[in-house]
Amino acid sequence: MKRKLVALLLCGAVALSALSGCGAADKDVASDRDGVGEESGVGEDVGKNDGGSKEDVSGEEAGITYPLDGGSVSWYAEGNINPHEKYADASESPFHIGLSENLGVDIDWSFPTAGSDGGTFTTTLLADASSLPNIMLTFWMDKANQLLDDEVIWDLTDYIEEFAPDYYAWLQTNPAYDLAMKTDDGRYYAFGFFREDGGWNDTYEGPVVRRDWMDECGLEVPETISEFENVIRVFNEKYGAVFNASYIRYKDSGFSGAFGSYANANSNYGWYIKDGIVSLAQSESEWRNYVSWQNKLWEEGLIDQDILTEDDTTIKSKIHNDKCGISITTMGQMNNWNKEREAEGKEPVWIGIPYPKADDGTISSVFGGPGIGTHTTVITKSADEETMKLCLKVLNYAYTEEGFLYWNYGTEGVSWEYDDKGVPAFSDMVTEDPDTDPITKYNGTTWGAPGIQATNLLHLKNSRASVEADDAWFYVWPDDKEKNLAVTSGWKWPVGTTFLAEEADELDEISGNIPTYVEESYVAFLNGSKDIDDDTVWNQYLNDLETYNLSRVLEIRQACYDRYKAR
Amino acid sequence: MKADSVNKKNSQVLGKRLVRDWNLNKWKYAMIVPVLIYLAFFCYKPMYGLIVAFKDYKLTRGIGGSGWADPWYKWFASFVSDPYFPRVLKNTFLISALTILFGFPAPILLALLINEVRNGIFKRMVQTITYMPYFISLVVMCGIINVFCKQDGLFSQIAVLFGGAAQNYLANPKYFRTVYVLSDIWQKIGWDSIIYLAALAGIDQEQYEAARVDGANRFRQMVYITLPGLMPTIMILFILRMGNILNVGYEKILLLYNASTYEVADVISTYTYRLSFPASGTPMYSKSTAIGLFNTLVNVFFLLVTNAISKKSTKSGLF
Amino acid sequence: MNEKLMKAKNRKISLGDKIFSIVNVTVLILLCLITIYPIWYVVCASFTENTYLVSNPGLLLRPHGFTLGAYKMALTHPLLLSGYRNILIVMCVSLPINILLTLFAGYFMASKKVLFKPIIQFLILFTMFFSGGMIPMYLNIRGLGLYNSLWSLILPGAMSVYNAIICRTAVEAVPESLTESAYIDGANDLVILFRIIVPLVKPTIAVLLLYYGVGHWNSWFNASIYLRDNDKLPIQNIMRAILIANSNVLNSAAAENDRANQFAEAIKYSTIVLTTLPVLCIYPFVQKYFVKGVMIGAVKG
Repeated sequence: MKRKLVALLLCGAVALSALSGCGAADKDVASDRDGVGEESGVGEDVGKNDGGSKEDVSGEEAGITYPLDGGSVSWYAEGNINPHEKYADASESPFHIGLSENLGVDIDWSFPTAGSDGGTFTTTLLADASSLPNIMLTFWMDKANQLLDDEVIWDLTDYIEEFAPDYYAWLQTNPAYDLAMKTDDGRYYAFGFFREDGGWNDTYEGPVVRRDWMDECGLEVPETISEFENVIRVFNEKYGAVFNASYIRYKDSGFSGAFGSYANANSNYGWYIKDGIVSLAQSESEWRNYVSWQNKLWEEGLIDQDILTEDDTTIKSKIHNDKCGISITTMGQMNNWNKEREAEGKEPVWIGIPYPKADDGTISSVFGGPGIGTHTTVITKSADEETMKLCLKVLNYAYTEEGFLYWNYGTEGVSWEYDDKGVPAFSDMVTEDPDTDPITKYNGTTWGAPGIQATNLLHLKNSRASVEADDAWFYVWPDDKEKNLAVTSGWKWPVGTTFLAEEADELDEISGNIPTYVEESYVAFLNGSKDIDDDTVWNQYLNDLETYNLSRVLEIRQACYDRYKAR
Repeated sequence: MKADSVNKKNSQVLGKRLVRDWNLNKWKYAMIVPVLIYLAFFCYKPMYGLIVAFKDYKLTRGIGGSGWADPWYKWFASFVSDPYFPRVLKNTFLISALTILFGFPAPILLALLINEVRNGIFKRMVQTITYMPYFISLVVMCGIINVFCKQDGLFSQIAVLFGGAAQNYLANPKYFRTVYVLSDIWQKIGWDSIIYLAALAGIDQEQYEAARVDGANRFRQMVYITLPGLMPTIMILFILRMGNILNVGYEKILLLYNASTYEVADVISTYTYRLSFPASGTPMYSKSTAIGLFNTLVNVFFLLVTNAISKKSTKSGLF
Repeated sequence: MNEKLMKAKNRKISLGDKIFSIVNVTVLILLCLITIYPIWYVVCASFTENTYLVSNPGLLLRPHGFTLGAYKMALTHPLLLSGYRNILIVMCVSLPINILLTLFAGYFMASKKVLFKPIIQFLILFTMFFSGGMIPMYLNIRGLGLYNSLWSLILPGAMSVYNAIICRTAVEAVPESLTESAYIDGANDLVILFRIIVPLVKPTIAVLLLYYGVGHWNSWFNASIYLRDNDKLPIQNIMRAILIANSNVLNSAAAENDRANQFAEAIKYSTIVLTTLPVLCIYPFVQKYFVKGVMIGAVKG
């Protein structure tokens, strides 16, 4: 057993280096990424953790061996780890069956019922707080204090080290993880989702362009926002195409970074931090410049008027009809666009390009979520103390070496094998499966599940072009790790902040209008029905935001952030 | 002494009345018992939930465990003082009024037209076709509307044909209400006409004979016989409709609106939807219940007024 | 002389009637075309290749490149059959309860000279406007032990007050002389209701059946929170699952987990055809009965 663990460990290390190797084929970007990876010491972190937990296993009796000796728990998951849609329920799903076997514990799974809204389902479950499932995976981080105070969920502080040693050890490898997974007063309450090497793949969304048109027009990949604008213009002159995007992709951040701003129409992305001060991007002059630029393009007919109603499905009619040659979208969608072109016998032409910078070469931000999930797994008070301990052991499994492999790839020899480089690769059973997303039949670590997502898995899941696009979006300053970090995540509202119960109540009461008002104002500014360049209009907008309690909201958020920093 | 005997007499009378009522109507009471049991368990029992409008409701603490709001009208005040209040109220009234103005007579008209068709096969065909949209789910219907309203969609193509300009009709606040009301009529006109067709079946045919003898043409027969015959049904449905004047469903609006049409499309129900299922944060159950209660009271007010007017002018009413 | 005059008058009337008929039929045909086109669009779209669909918005007069892919994909859903089965069970149990309670309530509210009628009627009508809301109702269902059982879809909607009012209106229209003579013959209210009233209000009952039936068929929200096991879900929830899984807008929380939605657009339309078809198949039968009901009224006159 121990030998096997060591072997797995080695394989993990090999996997990591092989990963860098596979990226290395891609000239500059990849080698730069290598650099980042090494400098950040992420690989070592993983190694260290593995070492640490192995010591636990060998050194103390507290180490947990799986399978456990029976027992049963109930487990609810909102929006993740649900069985592949081919299966009616968990009892048919290979991942869930296998997990139960590996753990030696019966799991009574429940999910929001098919076709229901996860948030509503969880809300109604919570209404009957006495009969909640033992383990719950939901979005409860910002109200953790309230749930702990009301005795809805267990305070795990006194138990976590003993009954979830591997998870505890993993948290200790990275202070940022540890910080995010507890309250301001240091109470542990949740199991989180993490990415194996911290930052990679943060930016799953970014600008894309048609390579063939660029070549035909003799254009270079645009670096600055002026060059970017020029591409839109040239495409418009030559092909009659305009800029367009799925609104849910565009509204979050767009190209705000090139204007020194941090968000586009979505105020939930607008809360950012600079020099320790929390602000709302949409109340600042940088944002005003950015929207003013968009308004200019709109008036000139360079932005599609349908953009506000476009979604991932409807946008395709523009994409495949040569009505749009430059856009912003996700890795997955870009992959779909290319695949659909291939299905029609055309060349796959969509590639990702870096986020444009300002003309003076600066950039403040690029889109992305942090490498830590915003939903977490908690243990509810419906579990008595013994059951709670069992739940801890059950959840701990995903953070052990054995569990890490199972949660990411499924059972060795069935759904995956080591390839000749010693890296896990899915077997024919998965790769030849004609169903949509066959990987999710065997894997549990989709975004948000409790566990650590292997970087290798992301490579297996995504196409080459998508991975390259993602690198182009994320590595803004490939040579300078610090600088890159500042742009990709240094400004973000951190995951795992917890409002005090009374703060959360007040926010609910006073902050509801800001998102709506910001978004509708954005649209009015964009299509020119309100003139953003007019100071009276702009000041009126700022005044209105004040009426919607902006100052008070910032105060609360600042206090919350300060507490987080002081942890 | 005298008063006592009067009382006694009164109670005797009351007792007699009760006995008589029971003897006469015991079967009727027996019939209504299952209905009352149903109402008690599934309507009245959960109704205690309305008190959360006067509480500081915490989901985790339940209705009983949450404290009272201070002052008791806290959530009502919070809604009324909300800068969005005038706008959502205005939009709700406008959309609802337009839907009633155009959507209410439409099925009556259709029923009258169908009633005048003599050819049975054609009649059945028209009925079947006009009912069909009702069976299309909202998600799909709004999906179709979205496709048709796009800048290069069907409506734009028609507009261009008549010399208009291509545009996205859902991104223009001017057209939102039109799109909403017309699609509403499209979906419900056939279905809503069913009840009128059923009522038409009950109209005395002798009246038509008499009118024919008097030389009234079919149009006149329609105006002077059919329409008055429908009047009680029309009035009842109209009163009920007025009792829903502030109920503009959020599902359809959520599927159709976007940031450029918030200004005209944001209604009370979308507002409470945002409170109940916020993009982030906890559901505001107390405030949304308070708004719901406000909504209900306004509705009941309109219902009573319409009922009173109807009773006075047409002698048919709900109560 | 007299006869001639009559003939002329008849001709005149029939000419006016003819114009009336022509206008009437034209209007109805136009209306049908407007109604049918979007539906025709759905049917065509459901057989059309997705790639064609996404690149050609607007008019679609016939299926383009006939494919059953979208149907195959929709039909491979593991819960489709159980969904149909569940909704059938719900309907078969619900409809008799619905009709019975509605008849009782309608008959009671239409009756006169009943001492407690005003208060009972008030209690009934009151529930039309006030309700406890989602959470209290959910707690109630759990408290009654109906959670995760099909009864939770049947009982809470056992009667609609709106429909009871429709029923009341219909019962009120029955001539009093009929019920009165039955009373004199010694019949009780149950006998009167089922022997005299029901045959006379058949068209209304047909309408009520349709209302309740379609209501059950289209509803999904209660099932989505009152049930826990997917194999108890009725068809509409399954259809939502299929539609929503392919609609990233409704699923923006999972925005990062893009699915390769090859049939995304077309499957929407095939599911709507699949959910609408059974209702449309049943409809002609109900309609036949319905029309017969209308005819009975006409013959009576």
